[in-house]
Amino acid sequence: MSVLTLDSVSVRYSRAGRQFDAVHDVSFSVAEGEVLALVGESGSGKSTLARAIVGLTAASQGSITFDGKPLPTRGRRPIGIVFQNPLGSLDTRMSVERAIEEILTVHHLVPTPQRRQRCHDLLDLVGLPQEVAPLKPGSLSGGQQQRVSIARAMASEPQILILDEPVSALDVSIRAQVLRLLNDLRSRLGIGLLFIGHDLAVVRQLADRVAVLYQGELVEVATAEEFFAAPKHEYSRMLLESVPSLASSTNGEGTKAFTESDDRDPN
Amino acid sequence: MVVNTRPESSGTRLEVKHLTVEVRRKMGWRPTVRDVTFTVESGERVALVGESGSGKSLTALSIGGLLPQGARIAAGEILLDGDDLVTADKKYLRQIRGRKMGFVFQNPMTSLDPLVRVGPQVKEALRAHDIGDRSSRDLRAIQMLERTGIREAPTRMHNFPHQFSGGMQQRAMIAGALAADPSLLIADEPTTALDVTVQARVLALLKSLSEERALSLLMITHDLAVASQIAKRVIVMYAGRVLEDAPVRTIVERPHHPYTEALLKLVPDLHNAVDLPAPIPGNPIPGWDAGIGCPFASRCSVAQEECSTTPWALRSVDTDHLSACIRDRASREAELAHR
Repeated sequence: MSVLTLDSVSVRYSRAGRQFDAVHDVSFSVAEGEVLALVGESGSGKSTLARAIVGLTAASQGSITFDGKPLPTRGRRPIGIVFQNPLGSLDTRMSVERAIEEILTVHHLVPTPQRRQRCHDLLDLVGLPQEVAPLKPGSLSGGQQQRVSIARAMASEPQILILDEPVSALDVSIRAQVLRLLNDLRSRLGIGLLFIGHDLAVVRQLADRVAVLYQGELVEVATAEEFFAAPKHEYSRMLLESVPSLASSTNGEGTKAFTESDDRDPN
Repeated sequence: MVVNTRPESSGTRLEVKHLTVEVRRKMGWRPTVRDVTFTVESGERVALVGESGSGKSLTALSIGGLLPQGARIAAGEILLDGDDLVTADKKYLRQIRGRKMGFVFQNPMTSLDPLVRVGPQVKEALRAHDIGDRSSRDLRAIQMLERTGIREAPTRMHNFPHQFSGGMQQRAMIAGALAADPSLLIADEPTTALDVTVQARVLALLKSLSEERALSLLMITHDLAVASQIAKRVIVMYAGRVLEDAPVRTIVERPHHPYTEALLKLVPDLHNAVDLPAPIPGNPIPGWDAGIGCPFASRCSVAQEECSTTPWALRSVDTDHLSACIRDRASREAELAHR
């Protein structure tokens, strides 16, 4: 079974002449068919880590391997990525069909005559009707745009898919549709998902394991059952307590665990 | 018109009656907010809940006379302490904005001027309305920043917004919105851009501020869980229409409209491992695409033919509980049990 492994990965940035680790000494693995959720707040280094895995940012230390081998620096990787904002990652002037075909062409994945068919299969896979193929992203709804991004990521036949806040920009009623789709991809095709998010409520619905990133360091990795029943790290507990729920509140008397003070804010 | 700055201590603060807002599209002016009616009592916290395109933000902007180019109020009344804001002139709206009603928006970084220090921005409403002299305004700004949880406020006044974290920026926005002691605060997704731990604290702050000042709060949010944490009353909007209006406990425990029910089912319970919730099929539609009937009918699992043909109206289904669903709950449930 294929596994993506991060071993003591650090990513160093320099700002105003000073160097600091945005991600420090992080190790974990994601296997095919599993969903690992990487959670943390803004600035915790989640997205930096995602960029390092797909090669958009260089890791300054440690190794990122797939099945024990380093990831190729050029050409097709066994890892795909989907970002939060689909309109930011799709070319607004390119039709859905062309956007997907581009991936197939670049990686010489499918002979030209079969490209259109493969493109339609991919649309089918993500639950989009064939009618959207000639449309531009701007005329699609947010949920449909995100499905196109997922189809594009799936076009390169990845074994692991990295999802960087894939549903944060979507409406709640659409969010559940996309989560279903992701869960389907996992169970039908057996691909592994590294699901990056800050919304524990969403993570609860999808993840097998949870990894908590805090100020660039991994503070807890646990199975979803363990994590939600009894989080070990204090920061994990704080995250869990902060999630607004319906059950804890009637008559607007909720927000139990928090005072209004700013004491635990970083500044 | 003379601005009455001392609001009545009790009674109705804000009344929105039959508000219709249109936006300009290629095919002409199209309605996006349709016949919206609700009230906010003095000291009451009300949440307008809906997905994008539901018209919740345009409703909020209409109240402040802040509609962008390409949007207009086509009909209806908006009464703040009895004065109609729809027919009021711009001068009057300027007189009451900041003084009688304050605004907090989703993204503090785009509402704060990056080139102006925090202090002057908190004081802006005081200066605009000529309240106090320079030193008393400084003092007021420091008090407000301290009250909203900014430590070392006298020093922090001189910071630029980028030197504040996201949570602190939003606190500074709240401090500025409340500096002139308005009686109504309109908060449009005030915690959506914040991290979840910061969100919890900003919600707690808004709540205690509203309690200690008898401040009426109209909060716009897409998140029913957030709404239930802060509001006493929840108004659910969809495709420009109000579909349900009830106290928060009723909405959570005995919702009447199937759309509210569906939204509630999508709020995950952290303490129970559950399967992925069944999504609502289809996509939200804009107000102008919905016909005369219930706008949710095309996505509703228990819709009947009459749902699309019976003109939309809010009906009283219980004391203090309005719903736009024409079917009664018992018959809907019986039908679902039969399937």
